[in-house]
Amino acid sequence: MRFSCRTFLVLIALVSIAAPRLHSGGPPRTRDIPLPDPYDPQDPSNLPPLPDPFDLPNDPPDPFDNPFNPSDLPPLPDPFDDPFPPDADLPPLPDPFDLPDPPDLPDPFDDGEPSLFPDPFDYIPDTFDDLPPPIPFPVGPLAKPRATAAAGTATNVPAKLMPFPRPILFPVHLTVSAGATKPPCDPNFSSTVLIPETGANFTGNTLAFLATCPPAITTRVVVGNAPVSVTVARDGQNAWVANSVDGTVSVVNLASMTVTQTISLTAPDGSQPTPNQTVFLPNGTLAYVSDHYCNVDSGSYIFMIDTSTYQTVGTIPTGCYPSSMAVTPDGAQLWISQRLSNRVDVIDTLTNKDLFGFEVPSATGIGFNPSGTFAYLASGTSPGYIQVVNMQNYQQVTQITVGNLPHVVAVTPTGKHVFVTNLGDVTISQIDTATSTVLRTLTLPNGDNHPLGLNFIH
Amino acid sequence: MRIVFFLLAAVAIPASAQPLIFHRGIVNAASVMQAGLPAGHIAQGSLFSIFGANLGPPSSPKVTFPFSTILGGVSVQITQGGTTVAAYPIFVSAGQVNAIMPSNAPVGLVSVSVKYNYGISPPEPLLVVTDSFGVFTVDSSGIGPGAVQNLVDGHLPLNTLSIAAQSGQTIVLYGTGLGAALSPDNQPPVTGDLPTKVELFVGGQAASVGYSGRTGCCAGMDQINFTVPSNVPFGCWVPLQVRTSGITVSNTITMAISASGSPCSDSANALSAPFRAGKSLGLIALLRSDILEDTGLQTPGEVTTDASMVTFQQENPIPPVPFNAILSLPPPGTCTAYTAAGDLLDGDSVPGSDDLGATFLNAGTPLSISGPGRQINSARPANNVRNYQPLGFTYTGSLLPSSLFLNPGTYTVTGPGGANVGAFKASVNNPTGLTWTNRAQTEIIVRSQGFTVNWTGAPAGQSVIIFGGGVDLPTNSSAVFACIAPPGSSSFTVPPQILANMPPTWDNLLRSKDAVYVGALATTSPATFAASGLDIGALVAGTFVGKTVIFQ
Repeated sequence: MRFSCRTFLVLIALVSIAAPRLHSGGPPRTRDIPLPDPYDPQDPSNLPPLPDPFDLPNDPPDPFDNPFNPSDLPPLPDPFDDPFPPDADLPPLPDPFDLPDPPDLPDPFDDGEPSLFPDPFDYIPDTFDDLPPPIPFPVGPLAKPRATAAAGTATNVPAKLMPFPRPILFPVHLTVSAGATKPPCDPNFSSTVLIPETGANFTGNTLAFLATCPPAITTRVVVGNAPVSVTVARDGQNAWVANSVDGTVSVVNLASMTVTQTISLTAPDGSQPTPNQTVFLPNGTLAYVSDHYCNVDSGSYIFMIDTSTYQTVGTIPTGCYPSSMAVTPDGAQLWISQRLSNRVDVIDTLTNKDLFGFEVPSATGIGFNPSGTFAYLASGTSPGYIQVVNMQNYQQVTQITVGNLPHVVAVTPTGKHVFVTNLGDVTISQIDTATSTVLRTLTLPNGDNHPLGLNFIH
Repeated sequence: MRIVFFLLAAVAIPASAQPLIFHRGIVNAASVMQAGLPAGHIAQGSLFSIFGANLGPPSSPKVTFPFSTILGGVSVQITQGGTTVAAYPIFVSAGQVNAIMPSNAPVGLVSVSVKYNYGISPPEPLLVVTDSFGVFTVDSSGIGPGAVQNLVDGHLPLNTLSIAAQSGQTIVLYGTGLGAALSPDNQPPVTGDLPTKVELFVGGQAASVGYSGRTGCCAGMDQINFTVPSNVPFGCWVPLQVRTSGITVSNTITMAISASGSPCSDSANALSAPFRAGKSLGLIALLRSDILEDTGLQTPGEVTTDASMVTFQQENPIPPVPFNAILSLPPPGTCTAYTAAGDLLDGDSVPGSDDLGATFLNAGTPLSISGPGRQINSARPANNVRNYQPLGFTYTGSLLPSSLFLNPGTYTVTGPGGANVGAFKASVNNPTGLTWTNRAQTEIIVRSQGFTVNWTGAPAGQSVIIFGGGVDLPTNSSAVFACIAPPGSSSFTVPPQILANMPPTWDNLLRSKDAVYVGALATTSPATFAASGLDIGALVAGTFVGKTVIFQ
C-alpha cells in the first residue's frame, strides 16, 4: 500500500494517541477514543476555512473593559416591566467569556503567616541542644516493638479522642546500650499498634496488638496464613488483614479482637491471589486489595470489595506485583505503584479508568499531603529518592534524595513532614515539605532489621 | 515498511499533547468556588469553566446561535453510567474552556472529558446539582464588588463606590446557576422566572426579589432583580449573598450603599477613604491569638501566638471598584465571607487580600517593636509586600519557655525609613482583650441555625470582630467569615447564610480545620503616625480569643 502524505499525517495522529501505552509496562488498556477513518483522504489542515453565516454585528459592549465610564452606558428599559423586551437595547452585561483566574493560584505573598490553627509541632526546634533536662514524656513512635516475628506493614488503631498534641521529641539516634536508662513513658498516652506477624518463611498466622506504654504485646488474634499487612477501616471498628499465602482477607473487630469475616479472593483467571495491601475510600464504602502477583499476559489485579457485604464487586487490571497503593484524600483517585514496571498509575475511582501514569524507577511507597495537592512517590533505588508531584496538573515538582531503597512513605497529619523508610541502610528520612529537603536521617538500631512499616501514633 | 513508519511515529510524537483537565479544575464560571465547598458544584444549565492543558486551540472561534456542541474542535462530554450528554462550549483555549452545562445533564456524580484534536482527556469527576448560584464580580474572581447595576431613571449604571445604591432602589445583578433553562440551552434564552426558590441578603437583611431567571441576551447567564431593604447598613462594601432552594448559598459579593445614592463612606473604617482615594497608607497590626483547642481531644490545651502584620501600599492606578479583603471591611452589624483553594487558616491568603493592583512601598527594614521590657525587630521583605512575623508563642504543656511578647501595655514601633516612606515612630496601647463568655460552650455549630457569641470587657471605642473559618483538607478548599459587631454591643449572631459556605467537619477530625475567633481592634480610630511619603499611617493592637469548633 502506498502511503500518501495525508495518510501519513493521519497515522501520526493515531500513533500519538497510542504512544503513552507503548511506554507502559502494564497491561494494555482500551480507551474510548473516536478515531478517524485512516483511509479518509481528507487532511483537516488542507480544508479551506468555512465562512461564518451567523456573523453578528454589534456584540453587546463589555462594561468591564478598561477604561470604564459609567456615563457611556445606553438607556435601558424598566427591568420590572419585562426583563428584556425583544426590541429593547441590550443592557451592558458582564462579559461571560472573561476568564476567571484559574483555581489554586500560587500565593505570591507566601510570607510565613502564622497559622490560625496552630500546631505546636510547628515550633519544635530542629536541634535539641537547648532543651531542658529530660522529664517524663511519652515514648515516641520510633519505639521498637519487642515482637520477634517478622512484621509486615503495621498500623495503629486511631483513638476516637486524640490526646492533646504533645511534643514527641526525636532523638537523632535512637540507640539502647547496656546500662542505659530508657525514659519512662506515660501510660495516659498509650496507643495500640497492630502488627501482622508474617513469621519466618511466611509461616506466621497472627495479628499482634502492641501497647506502646509500657511496650508489650497484649493480644494475638489468629488470622490467615502469612499476614503481610493490616489496615484499619475508616470507621475505626475493624482492621483488615491481608493473608498472602491463603489468598484471604481477615476482618478483625477491634473491640472484641475476633475475626468476624474471612473474605476469599479469586483472581479473574481463576487463580488464588496473593493479597498484599488494603486501602479504603474516605467514605469507607469500598476497599481495594492488591494482588502481589504477576501473570505475564495479564499482569495483576486490584480487588474492589464492598465493605458492607464483604463481596468482591470488581477488579482493576494493573501491572505486575503492585508494591503500594494509596487513595487520594478526596477519594477521587487510586494511585498504584508497580516496582517491576517502574511506574505509578493513577486510577479514577468513579470510572475505574486509567487517568495518568508516572515513570518512577522501582516505584515503591506513595504518600499524599492532607490537602491532596502533592504526592510523594518513592523510587526504591540506591540511592533512592522521592519524586514530588503536583496532583492538580500531574507535573513533577522536584526530587529529594533519601537513603538506599526507600520503601514506605508516610506524611504527617499536618502535612509538614514526610517520613521515608530506607530498607537498604536501615534508616528513616524525615523531609520538610516546605523546603523539600531532608531534615534528618534516623538510624534504627539492630542494623539487620529492615523497616517495612511506619505509622504515626496520635 | 508500515511497522517502521508506526514505530518511527511512536518515537517522534510526544504524549504530552493529550488534553488534560486539572484535578478539581472545574468551577462555576461566576463564583469560581472550589469543588469541596457546599456551593462548589455545577448546576444544570449553568456556565462553568474547565481548567487544564491542551484543551483547545490557541484562539477561540466566535460563537453564534444556535450553539454547537463542538467549538474550535473542542467538545465536552458529561457521562454518568450509560448516559452521556454534551455541553456547549462558548470559549475554548489551551488552558481553559467555558461551557454551558446542559439543562438535561444527569444530577449527581458525573465524569467530564474534553475532546480536542482526536485526543480525549482522562475523566474528571464532578457533582452536578439542580441549582448552585454564583454571582459575577467585576474582576471575575468571584470575590469583592459584584456585577451589580442600580436602576436610576431608566438607566442601569454599574454600582460603584461613587454611584452607590440606596434603600428602596431596584438593583440588577448577574450570575449563573439558577437551574435548568426554560428553553434549549443553545438558543437565545427565554426570559421568565425560574422555579428555583431564590432569597437574597444584603448586609444581612432579606431583600425583595422581583425577578430571577435567564437574562435576555446570554445563554446560561441569570439575572436577579431585587429591592435594597429599608434597614440595610451603609458602606462601600456591603456584603450580598444569594441562597437557592433554601440551602445553597452563593459566593459573597459586595455593593456600595449610601443614604441617597451619593458616594459611599465607611464610618467605622478609618482606612476606607484613603484606600479608595489611592492614598499611600501604612498599616501595622500587633495581634495576639489565643485559641482553645479541645475538639475531639482528651485533654484540651491553649495555644497563644503573637504576630505583627505590616503593609505599606498604594492603589496605583485606582481601579474602577477598589477592593482589598483586609482593608475593605463590611459595615458594622454585617458579615462577609470568602472562599479559596488552600488552607486559609494556615497561611494561604484570601483572594483579593494580596491586592495585585497595589504598589507596595519601601519603608525600610527592620521595624523595631518595643514593649514592656522587651524589644523585637520585625524584618520587612525585599519586595516590600505585606508580611507577617511571629513574635512569640506558647502552648499548654510546652517544654519550652514562653516567648510571648504582646502582653497588655504600650508598644512603640519605629521605622528606619526607606526609598518611599520616611522614618517614623508610633505608639499604641495594647489593651487587655475581651472575654468571650460562651467560648467553652461553643463546640458544635449547626450552620443552618447560625450561632451567637457573647462577650464582656471589649475595649472602649474598638470594633468587635468575629472571625472564623473551615478548611476541608481532602479537597484543599477553605472558607472564612468575618463579622463586625455593632458599636456598644455585647452579643452577635452569625447568620446561617454566612455559615453556609463553611465545609462540614469530617468525622475524622484530622481531615478538617475549623475555628472561631472573637476580638477587638480600633478600626474606627486607630493610632496614627506620620511619615514623609505616607498619606496615612495606622497602628492597631488587639487580642483575639479562639476556639476549635465542629461545623455541622
